[in-house]
Amino acid sequence: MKRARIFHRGHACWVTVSADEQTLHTADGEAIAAADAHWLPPVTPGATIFGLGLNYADHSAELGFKAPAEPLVFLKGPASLVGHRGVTPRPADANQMHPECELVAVIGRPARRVSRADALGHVAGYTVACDYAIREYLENYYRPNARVKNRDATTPLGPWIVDAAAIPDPQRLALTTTVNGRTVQDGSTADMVFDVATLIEYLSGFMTLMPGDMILTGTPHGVHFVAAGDEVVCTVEGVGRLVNRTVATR
Amino acid sequence: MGGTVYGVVLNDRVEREALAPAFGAKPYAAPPVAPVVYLKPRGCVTTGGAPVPVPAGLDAVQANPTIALLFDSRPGVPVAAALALDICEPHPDYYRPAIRQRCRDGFLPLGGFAAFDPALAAAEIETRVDGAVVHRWSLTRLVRDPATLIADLAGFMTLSDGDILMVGLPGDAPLVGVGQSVALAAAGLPPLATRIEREQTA
Repeated sequence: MKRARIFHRGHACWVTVSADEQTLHTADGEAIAAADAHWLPPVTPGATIFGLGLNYADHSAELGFKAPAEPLVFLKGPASLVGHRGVTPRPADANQMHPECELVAVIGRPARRVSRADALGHVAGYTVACDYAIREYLENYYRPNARVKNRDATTPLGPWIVDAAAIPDPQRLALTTTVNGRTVQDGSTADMVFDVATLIEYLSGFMTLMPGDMILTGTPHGVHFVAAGDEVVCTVEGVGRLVNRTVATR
Repeated sequence: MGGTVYGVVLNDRVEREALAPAFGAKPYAAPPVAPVVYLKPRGCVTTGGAPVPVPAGLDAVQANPTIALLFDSRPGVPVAAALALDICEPHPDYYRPAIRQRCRDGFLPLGGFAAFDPALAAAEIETRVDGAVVHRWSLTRLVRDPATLIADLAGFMTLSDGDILMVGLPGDAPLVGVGQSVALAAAGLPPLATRIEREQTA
């Protein structure tokens, strides 16, 4: 089962996605062609949104960092998200803006002091994020800082949440990013430094994870700078294909 | 509260002056340019004087007295304000986001909200621990006053729809031990009182 959040008839609502991904069904049975949907990020209002830095050893190496000893976690507000087929502003001076394809784990049951062995039982499902970074705006204060990671509409997320049951092992999924059809990232969740279960154990060790909370689990190797107008597609095997376009802004 | 809670560090002029030599060295390399923002997850927020639970192994927490501004449908226009006691585990530097130190459940007691008054930019906040005044600071110490901070944040993120912004933390915030009570007062805002308690685990 896949669940999406769309804007329909004047309000935001959750819908289910047909097996062929062509049709969305509202709670009262109305069918909407996926091609006509106004996609919203599939996020529960109020959810805490975690990001991970340097969580793939090959990506850390290409940026000149050692893989961290403790998860490098940062937080995002919901205004940073934008739905499938949405548009992300690319500032005129952002010549080093690059997409980051990520597997997102969505919490389904409250989690407090959960062991790694039990952690995946607290996952409701998975989605895809493109956690853009703009390297010109990085500063060494609470890095990666909010000007990079909490920009309005700069984290495409979706198209939907796939039930965890459909993803028995989240650590063997291919991740790819294409820009205008050319592959710029091609990795595997097998290469995470801290896997999904370990991240849930870590975070739930000091706070309560609640249903709807999202963990963006980091990105593999492949830094490619985008231009305004580029079409960026992030795909996580078995989860979804997330489409975004960049647009020039001042 | 339906929005997201944001705060900024390194917005205290006194703290910035003291850290100026460090800003040029590792790990920072340069002084901060943009506001240094953090978030507090929804589970941090408590109201009505609920105690702050502190885990075993941690005997004191940094208790940061500040003012929280509430936004609504007009982006960037604060409509209400409250005293806030932003709790964190002391951490040695500002290099990496201090999520584990700042985001524990119950680590953000808020006082009651009053209508926003621009005069709050000069508010003085008094902190009492077990009844004795231990700290006083004026928001005139802020590097970016609330209006400037909001304007600079608007360059990359929109505050609206129930979002909350804490306008800055004093670099000399008191450490408060488990078992102690903390009370904040500032003219024009409902007072805030809470206790630091040992976390009960099931």
